[in-house]
Amino acid sequence: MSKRKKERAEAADGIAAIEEEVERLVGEKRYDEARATIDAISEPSVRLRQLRGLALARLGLAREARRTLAALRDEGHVDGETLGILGRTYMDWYDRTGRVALLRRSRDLYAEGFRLEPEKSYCGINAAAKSALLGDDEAAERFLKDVEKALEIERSILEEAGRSVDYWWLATSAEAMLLRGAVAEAAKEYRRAVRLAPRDLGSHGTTWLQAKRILNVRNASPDERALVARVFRDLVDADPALEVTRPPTRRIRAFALDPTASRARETAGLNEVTLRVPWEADAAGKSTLSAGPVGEYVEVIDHDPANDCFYEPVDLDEPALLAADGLDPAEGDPRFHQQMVFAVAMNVVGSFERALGRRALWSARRVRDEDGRVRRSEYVQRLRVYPHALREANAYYSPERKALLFGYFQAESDHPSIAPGAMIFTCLSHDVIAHEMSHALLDGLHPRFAEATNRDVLAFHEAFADLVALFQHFSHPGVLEHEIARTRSDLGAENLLGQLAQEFGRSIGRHGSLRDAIGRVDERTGEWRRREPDPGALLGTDEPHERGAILVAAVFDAFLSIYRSRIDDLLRIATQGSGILAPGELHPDLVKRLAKEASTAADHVLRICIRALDYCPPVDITFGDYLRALITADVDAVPDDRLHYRLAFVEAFQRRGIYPGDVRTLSEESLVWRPPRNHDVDLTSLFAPGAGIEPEWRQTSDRRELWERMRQNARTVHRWLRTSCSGPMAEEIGLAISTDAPKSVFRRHGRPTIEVHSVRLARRGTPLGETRTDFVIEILQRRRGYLDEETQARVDAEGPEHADDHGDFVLRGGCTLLVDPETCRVRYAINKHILSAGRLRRQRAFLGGGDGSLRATYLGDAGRGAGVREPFAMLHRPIEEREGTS
Amino acid sequence: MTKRGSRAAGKKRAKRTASGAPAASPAAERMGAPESGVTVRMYRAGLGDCFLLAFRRTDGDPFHMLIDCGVHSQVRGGNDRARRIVEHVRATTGGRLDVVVVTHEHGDHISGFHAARETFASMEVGQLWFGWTEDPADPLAKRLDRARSLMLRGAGAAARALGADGGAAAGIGSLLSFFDAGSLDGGLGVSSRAVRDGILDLCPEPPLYLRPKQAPLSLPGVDGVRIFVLGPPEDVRSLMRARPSSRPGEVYHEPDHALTPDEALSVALLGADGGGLGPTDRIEAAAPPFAGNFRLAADIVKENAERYAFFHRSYGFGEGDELAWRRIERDWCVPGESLALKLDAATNNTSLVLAIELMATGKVLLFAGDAQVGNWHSWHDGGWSEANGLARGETVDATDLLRRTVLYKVGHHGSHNATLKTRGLELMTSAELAAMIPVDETWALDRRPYPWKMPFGPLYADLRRRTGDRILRADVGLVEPDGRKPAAWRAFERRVDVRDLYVDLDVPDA
Repeated sequence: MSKRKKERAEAADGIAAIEEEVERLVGEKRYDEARATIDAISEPSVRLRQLRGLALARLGLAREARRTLAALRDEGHVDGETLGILGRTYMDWYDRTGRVALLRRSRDLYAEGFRLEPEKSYCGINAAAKSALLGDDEAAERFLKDVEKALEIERSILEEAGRSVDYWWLATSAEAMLLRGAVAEAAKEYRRAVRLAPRDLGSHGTTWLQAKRILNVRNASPDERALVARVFRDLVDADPALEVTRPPTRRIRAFALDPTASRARETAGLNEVTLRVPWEADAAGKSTLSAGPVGEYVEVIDHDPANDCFYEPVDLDEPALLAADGLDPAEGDPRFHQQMVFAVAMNVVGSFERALGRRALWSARRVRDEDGRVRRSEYVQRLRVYPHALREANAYYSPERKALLFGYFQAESDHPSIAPGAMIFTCLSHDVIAHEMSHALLDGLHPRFAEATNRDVLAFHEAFADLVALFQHFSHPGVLEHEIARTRSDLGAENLLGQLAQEFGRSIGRHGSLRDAIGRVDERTGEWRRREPDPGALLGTDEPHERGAILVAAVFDAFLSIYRSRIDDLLRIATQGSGILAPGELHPDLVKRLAKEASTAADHVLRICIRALDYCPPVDITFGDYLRALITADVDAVPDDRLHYRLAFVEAFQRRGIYPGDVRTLSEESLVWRPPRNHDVDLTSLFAPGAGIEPEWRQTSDRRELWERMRQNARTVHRWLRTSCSGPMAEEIGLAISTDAPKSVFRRHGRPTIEVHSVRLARRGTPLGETRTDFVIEILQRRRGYLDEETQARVDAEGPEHADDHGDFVLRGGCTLLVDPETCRVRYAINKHILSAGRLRRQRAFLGGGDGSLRATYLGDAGRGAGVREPFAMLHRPIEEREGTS
Repeated sequence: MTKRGSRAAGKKRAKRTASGAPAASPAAERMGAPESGVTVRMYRAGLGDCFLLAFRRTDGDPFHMLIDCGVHSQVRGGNDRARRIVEHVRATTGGRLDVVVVTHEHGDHISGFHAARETFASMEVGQLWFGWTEDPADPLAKRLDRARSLMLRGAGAAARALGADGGAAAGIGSLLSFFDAGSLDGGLGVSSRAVRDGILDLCPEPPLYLRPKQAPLSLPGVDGVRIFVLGPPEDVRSLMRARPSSRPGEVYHEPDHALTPDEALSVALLGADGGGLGPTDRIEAAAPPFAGNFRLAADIVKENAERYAFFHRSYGFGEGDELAWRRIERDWCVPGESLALKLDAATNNTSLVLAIELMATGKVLLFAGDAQVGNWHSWHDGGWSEANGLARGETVDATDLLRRTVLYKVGHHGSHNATLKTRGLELMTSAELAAMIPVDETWALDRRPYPWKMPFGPLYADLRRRTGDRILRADVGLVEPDGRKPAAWRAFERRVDVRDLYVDLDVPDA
């Protein structure tokens, strides 16, 4: 053999080995690895390229899959396999959009494949089934006949080779029977197939999906459906009698508030809650939560660097713990801390997912090179939680590490509920955990949202996190009923529900809780007093927590008036119409009903607050913006506001002096965000099939896939802005993208740069009760800002002197667009214009302000502007170092 | 606008000072006694306090009082400057100081006592005045001393542990520089505490440890001058923390042996640095959060990759490996910065605050050291009456003293947090009010990575307004009004003598 020939033969051997390897990977559903293996080869074979298409299709990257396969077809590699996979991708596309043209396309591709290889049943059965779905019974019949022939041929080939029919053969045969209407026979044939490969759950899923479609199109009776369904319901276990339904949730015990409530006799019995978090499991229902706990969203790693040690992770799957809903609440066992922090964290994730109607994602990790420039973004699956990371009265979310750091410290208090010198753990405070989780989830939604560019930004973050923590209280029936009974239904009086972080507050020497939405304890007299709304209060303070408290109080007020309007009738019923409660204790049934109303109202208000996040500007938020977001989001979610929730919000905000700067009246109509005014931005080309955003409606269960799609869509929007969006159109939505934009706007290759931050889905209801899905698109630009106005004018006109002149500060601007893909129109454009002179001036004044504290004297103003390493660490340090101002 | 104007002026002057223009004149003029009242001399030490006061004895000779003598440790050539100043003090006083007042333990107030210790040794000191917080016989002062010493070491350890982690470590270093009495080039490397203790040797008499609201002091041989002690407060909470006590009339009842949270953190930090206390001490002193059997020592976890696979997989121990970006080894040391800030505030709050009254006119000179909010507030607790040294029927309180203040030595080089607004500056309503600011603004703004805001813009503007521009600064000298010079300012100017090394102001008691 000549040398070259030998090399070629070896290469061919190599390829064959790789093909085998990739086939195995695809078989094991390791699509990512399969794709990576193929992409590493410079000249993949036709088979490998087919497999790549398959892997991509299975990964949900339909467009790229189609591109790969279409290229193969165009090069003349037309065979059944290629066309079959291509057909499948169109079928997936059809599933998502319901567009019949795609179904027809799919059928035609299968038909073409079957024509080329009539001895193979795979393309044929699909062509037949799709024809049936199209209502083209004639064609279906024609294909079926040929499929039956092909099945015969395949069986004879298998038998000649000494083998019997396999799963796919049986499934195809069964499907053919089903198409012919022989449901009972089909069910038997399906059962044979399933018995043959009981563990091949992925294939069963595909088969069952196809069977369901056929049953639907053939108008099968419920009995017939049940017959087939039963085959597939038996999948998990061969013997249906022994099957155990997989639990929807896992129960985990935790403190309802924090350990202090257990030490008070009055609340001791109520302070334990059993939280229900999703049962994280694989397709077979087996738990995937591992020791740590480490789950799909959160990983608890218990390292205590101040003590130079680790603590053994808790394994919630241990039978003893499964049986007892986890460990007993105990302050002295770090494993209980891990358990509680995990459970509460997952609970908060659940609140967000329910409100937003989609999976929660953490913000991407920005991997930087040595010069600090962002090189790439990486998907971060899990938020890390360190329950004992710090030895101080502090806890914070670290955006850099995608981690929550909780501290512990010795109490400094003379409050009777706290032993002097007792160790206080922030990770045992329900409120602190919920608060920090909210920061992390918020960062996952809007990556630039926390940059303090005006005095409301940090205050908003604090307030929002407090609100989430507050309304979590209403999901614990024990405490809720207790407090309703104690206050005799008046939740506007002093009560635990409106207070945050009792233990923490007292341990740092305060008299009461850390924060209180309704009132405050006078530090001198020790008495609690209700805080009356003061419309001037906002003008009086710049301190983030004080400003935040005003927003919290406003939302809590809205909640109280909603709650009161919900219980009016109950009180009248309970008092023979007088509405005035008789002295003495309330009837326990009444307490339960009141608690239910409170809990419903709290749930609604929290949902409204979270949903509003999709309607916020991408940067530089003010309280007024948030009010508009709240109202707009609620108009979209519940078009018919029969219970006057929105009115409650507007009134409450008004009483606290929170107004949007840009509306004339506080009516609902004027508060709702508007579409762009002058140019009706037409986004048809953005949604063009094949080239535009893929409307991936389905809520995929794979969060990484969701993330990838989001990025893919972001790239599409970016391209669209570059190629199809005109200068005036861009200006309308807050951007400056043409080359004549001020030179202070950051550029690349002479053109202003644009960041598309997120393209995500937001569901809304229509007045007719339908559910629609909008796209939320966030677009940002950067501009150099200078403290000196003359420099600003010069750089605006002439550009910076050096490329590495990044200005005295960075002004970000842009917009959040809510786009209806059906009409291809922008429903709302919420912009913070990059060219706004007012914003530039305000940010300049804000950054120049400084609070004059001792810290500011020596260390600059922590937390102002961009580039702060741990923006939340300082904000959460409760310490007296804030001394100084008088 | 005002701010920009003044800053530019500061720059010009500072350059001149930095070039070393003020030459020590060996034949310094003797600082004689004023006709009446007092002459106040502010030495232009840069960032640092050094005041020499001359009163008139009944026999016509001058009575000299020195309040502080220091240059910030990071001022280049600071030791030399301090020595020149002290040399001048000796020459101008003839080698006798009737009273030496030490306000608090920061290098920028006391470094000169060390740098020029030989000169001081050749001088005669009549009396030494300290705040009660420096009294080794006072149990509370001892406790404070321990806390401050632990916090100082803890913050230092944090800075070392954070090491390469730029920002925070530099911030701590910047704050702790106040506790270093050796200057950059002098390299004396002496702690301010050692310097404070060394001052005791200057005077054979035992020092006076002064308490707020004690009977007013008089100066031996001088008539018509009374000195009211306003601070440091005797309430620990006012000293160590800003938040007011949670209940009125409450006593601080921390057992003597227990560590405060700040001390506990400091002890733990000392452990991280490996210095100071050994690991066992550390565990015992800074109580561990859990019983020992829960603890898996980090080095054991690190060595047993198999047994502790979970931590090796999730946390990792390899230098710069792909898990490194999420590790949290040093984060807990960052509060060292808060510790340093609190320590700074706590030390500033131990400032001895004196209100010097010229009895004929009732004028008051307020020397506030670097007192911060807690200290200022405490002035208003109680007052003076017959019970503490006044004549029958006479009463004096802080509001009264502030109202009569004609010269305010601005606290802490003009930073915002050392001049109380409503219960402080706003009460200084005398039409004659003037201010002295021992500051070097250019130098302060040159601090890296964090420029110091000294003087703080809004406060400085307020001072200019309230004093009608009657302000003397160490860097600028006499501050000129914008535009027309009012007659009152001209009259003030006539009482001022600006030299390269110092600025004099006469405050007559007539």
